[in-house]
Order: sequence, then structure tokens, then C-alpha cells
Amino acid sequence: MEKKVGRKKIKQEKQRHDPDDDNNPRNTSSSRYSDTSGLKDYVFHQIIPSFMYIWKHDQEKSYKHVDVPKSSAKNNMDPNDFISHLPDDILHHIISLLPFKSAVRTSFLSTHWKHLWKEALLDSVHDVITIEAAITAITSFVDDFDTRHRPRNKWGLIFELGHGRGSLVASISSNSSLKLDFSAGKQEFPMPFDLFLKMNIAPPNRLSRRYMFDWLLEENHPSQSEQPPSNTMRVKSLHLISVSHLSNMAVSSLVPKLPFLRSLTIAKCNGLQSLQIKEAKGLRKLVVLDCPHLQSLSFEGSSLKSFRYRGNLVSFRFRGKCNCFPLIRFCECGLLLDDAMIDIRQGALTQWTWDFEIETPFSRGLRKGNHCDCANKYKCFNSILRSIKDVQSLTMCRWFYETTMCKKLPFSSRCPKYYLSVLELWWIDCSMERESINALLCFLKLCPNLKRLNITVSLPFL
Amino acid sequence: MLLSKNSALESKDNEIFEVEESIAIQSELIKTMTTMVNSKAYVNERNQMVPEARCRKQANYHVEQNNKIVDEELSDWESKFFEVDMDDLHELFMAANYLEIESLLNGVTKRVGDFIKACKNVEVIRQTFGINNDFAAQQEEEIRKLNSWNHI
Repeated sequence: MEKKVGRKKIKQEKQRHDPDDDNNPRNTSSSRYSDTSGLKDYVFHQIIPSFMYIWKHDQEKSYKHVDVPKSSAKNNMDPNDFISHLPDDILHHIISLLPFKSAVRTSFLSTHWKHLWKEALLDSVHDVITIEAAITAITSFVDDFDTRHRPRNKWGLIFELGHGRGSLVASISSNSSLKLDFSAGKQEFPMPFDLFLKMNIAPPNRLSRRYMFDWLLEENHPSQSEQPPSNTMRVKSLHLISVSHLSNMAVSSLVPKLPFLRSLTIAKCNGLQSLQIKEAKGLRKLVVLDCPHLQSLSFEGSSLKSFRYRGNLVSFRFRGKCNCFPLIRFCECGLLLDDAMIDIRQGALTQWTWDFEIETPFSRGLRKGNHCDCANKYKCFNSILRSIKDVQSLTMCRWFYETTMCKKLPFSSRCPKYYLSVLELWWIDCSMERESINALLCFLKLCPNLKRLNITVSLPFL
Repeated sequence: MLLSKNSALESKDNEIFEVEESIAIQSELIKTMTTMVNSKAYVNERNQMVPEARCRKQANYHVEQNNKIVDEELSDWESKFFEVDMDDLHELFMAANYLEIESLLNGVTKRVGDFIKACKNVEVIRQTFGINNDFAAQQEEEIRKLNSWNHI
């Protein structure tokens, strides 16, 4: 079929160009058929270009660039929106020119853009089946990653694990942050699991003068070895998203390999029932968001500066253990949070506690005097207050404040036991009725240094 | 450059541009055709889809590019060349895409990339490019949450 059409086109062209150009070798057509060299010429100059013409314009699918859809309605795209109509190759190129964060943000533009950044910036790996193998591949990828010399278009790996294990997207950004997104598809009733992370993090400032005697008390740490730290060890910030019962073991084995971790984010882990983090001496920031089945959270570490939590109110248990030499009074250990976000507008489970203890040698003797006489010392607002009293940026829900009020609270004319040093307060409420405002005003009495107040009124999530 | 041949390119609006062959073959499409055919007049009708303005831009772009020897001048000129509004950028894109001119395509993609970088958030990007937000409300919620995981 093609040849026929080709021949027709040739005839048309001949007719068009004959009168124009006498120097055109094509015009001497009749003599060309008599010898093979002429035939070759004929083939090269006549048929093949025509084939190319047909190939490129009639079979648009084989022509890689001409990909403009005729009707944009099928994709729900605005006809004025030319950029989304561009072929994927070009969009990938544009995305690879952007800094990593901007590139990830493009996924929020529209459904068409949702997965483009992954295709553009992540290497696809198909021959890895288990999650453990994937983690090994990720650590070797991170070790080989060199932000200076590497072509900037591959920032991570995407693994398609078969057998219902979903996919794992691993990406690194330039500030030493590793993000692992295990999405195993939607599960109606996710299997419950516990996540136990033994962090093995080196405490900060090991060589500062205050800790001169500290090394005597410390356990052997792998970073004390002679080898320079590999890239994997240098990861400062880890994001774990959608960890499930399939991946929790792998995650637990990855975590001790990151001795310099400063920030940990755990989000959207359906099925996660309890989270225990131990030996996290150097961890500065902990973020736990949107884990709907979480019941308890336990943290042991001594340098936490920022804690953010969103979800149900669960049993919190924080222990800040400090191993400093007993004579040092003002060590920097302890859970002296600068920034705390406790967004629990979703409500509470029936059993919850707030157990926040900082054990420093200095305060050991004084500890007993700090507890109030409430029936339940783990739900007492005073102890909660004590734990957040140095927080400078605080996010809090009104009902949490109300629920935890014990009798000795600032409704009375006496001065409250603790004033907060909050500079910036984010207050979450579900209405601005009289009662809500009263509660807010009571709380504000505890914050004499407040400079900025933000109020969010939102309906509780169902 | 007396020895170089001139190619005549005809645009959709039937306007003929004379460009030096060395410039014309920067376009992969034209290059493929000319190497096959080795004739200048043959190339004309292939440009059926390219309207006049684009073609003129192509010609200008290449002529200027080849004339500028100094790197600084070239990058200055290039940045001015690409400071056009969305519609023109769209035209340039389509033309570069169709004619397969890599350097032009790179220039335009870089410009679009700069646009996106300059936008502060997703909404501004959508407005600049006219992208329709077709996420359902629940998806928006998911995205809002995802955003917080990424940026907290």
C-alpha cells in the first residue's frame, strides 16, 4: 500500500517541479531506469524521501515529536494550557532543569503532571524483588551519589516490587535528605505492626569542651572507626512514608546505618500501632504525621529540639537521658523543645498519657517536687505544661487544653505554676464560640511573651 | 561565506525565507531531508505546518546565533530573545519541536524552567501557564498532606 501511495506522490512532485528547475537531476527520469546506478539514485532521491514524508506525517505515532492531541477534552486539559500538551520528553527535560523541591512540587499541578517528576528524575529498577534488596540498592545508590559531578537528572530510584508489595520510591535531595515512600496500594484493613527503631545516632558536639569527660561514658560507636563516613552515613534527614508490615523490618535495619541523622519524619503509616525510638541522642527533629492506628509513641533521646505530631492523641512517652558528668550543671541535654506541634484535632483514643521526663543529674533530686497531686499524673496539664514551657513555637488544639485541665489551673487568681516562653502560638479550634474564646484567653494568660498568634478554625476530620 | 548554498524555506503562509544552508541544517528535520535529496527546492513544501512568524523567528535565531562569536554577547542576546510572553513561547516551542532544532528547544525549555522556578507556589504556576486543576477534593486533601510531609 505504501509503495503505491509513494509513487503517486512522486508523480505529483514531478509535475510540479518540472517546469521550475532544469538543473534538477530528477528530470532526466526516463533514462534512469536503464541502468542500476540510475535506479539506485532514483531510489535514494525519489522513493525514500517520499517514504519519509509518509512515515513522518501519516503515521504520527512513529514520529516522536508530533504528539499534540487534537482534542484536549479527553484529558481534561485547558486548550489554552499549552505546556501540558507538550510531549512527555520535553516535560521531563523541563522538570530536570528545576531544583529538586520545585520539581516535586510540579506533581501538584494537575493529574497530568502527577507522576511526571518521578519519570523524569528517578531511575526505574525492575529486577529487585524484595524490600531488603531494594534497601541495599538504595544504600549503594546513595553511596555513589555525588552531587557535584553527577548528571543532575537522576535523584533517586523507583522500584516496582511485584506480588502485591507495591512500589518503593527513594529520592535524595541536596540537603542530605533521604525519602522512602513505600506505597503498597490501598488496603482496607492494613495489618497492624510495630516499628522499633534503634537509632544508634552519635550525639552532637562530641568534641565540645563540656563533654570532655563524656567519652568515658559512651558506648563504642561505629563512627569512631578510621574510615571516612560513606554517603549513606551522612544522611541527615530521613522521611519514611507509608511504611507497612511488609517494610518495617527493612526500615529497622536501615536506620542504625545512619549515625548522623538529625531529623526523622514518619508519615501515613497505616497499621502502625506503636512507635519506639531508642538511642536517638543526636536526633533534633521528630515528625510523626497521619498514622491513624497509632496508639503509643515512645522516644528516648537527649537533643530533641522540635517535635511535630498530627493525628489522634496517643500515649506519648519521652525520656531524655543525659549521661553528662555529674558536676556539669547546664548541659545541653534534655528535651528542651524549641518547636512543638501537637495537632490532634482528630480526637483522642480512650487511653492516652503524656509522660515527659528529662533526667539530668541536676534535676534528679528535684524531680519529686515537680509533680502535682492530680489523680493521674500522666494526664495532668501541669506536667504537660512543664514539658512545653520552653517551647518557642507551639501549635496546640483547644480541646487538648481543656481535657487536660486539672483542678489547680489558672482559673484561679493565683499565679500559674509555669509561664510559657511561647513566642508564636498556633491555636487550632473547631469553632469560635464563646467557650472557645474563653479557653483561648485562659491559655493566653500563660503566655506573657507571645508575639504572634495564629488561629485556625477547622472542622475535625471524620 | 560565498560558497555556502542558500536554502529556500517556505512557510505555511507561503512566505519564502532564504537562509544559509549551514543554518538551515541545524533543524534536524530539514537536515534529514536535504541529505536525502541534495536539492534546495525540494525542501519547500515540507514546511506546510509552520506559520510565518515562527519561521521568521527560526531564521533570525540561527542567523544571530551564528553571527555572535563572543559568548557573553550570545547569552545576553539569548536571554532577550526568550523574554517573550506565553503565546510566543508556545509558538517557539511548537516550531522547535516540529523542526527539531535542539539548541532552540533547550533555550525554550530553560526559559519555561526559569518561569516555574520563579513561581512561589503551585497556584501561581497554574495561573501563569493556565493549567487546569483537575484534582478532586479528596485528592487535594491528600496532596496537602503530602506537601506537609515533604516540607516540614
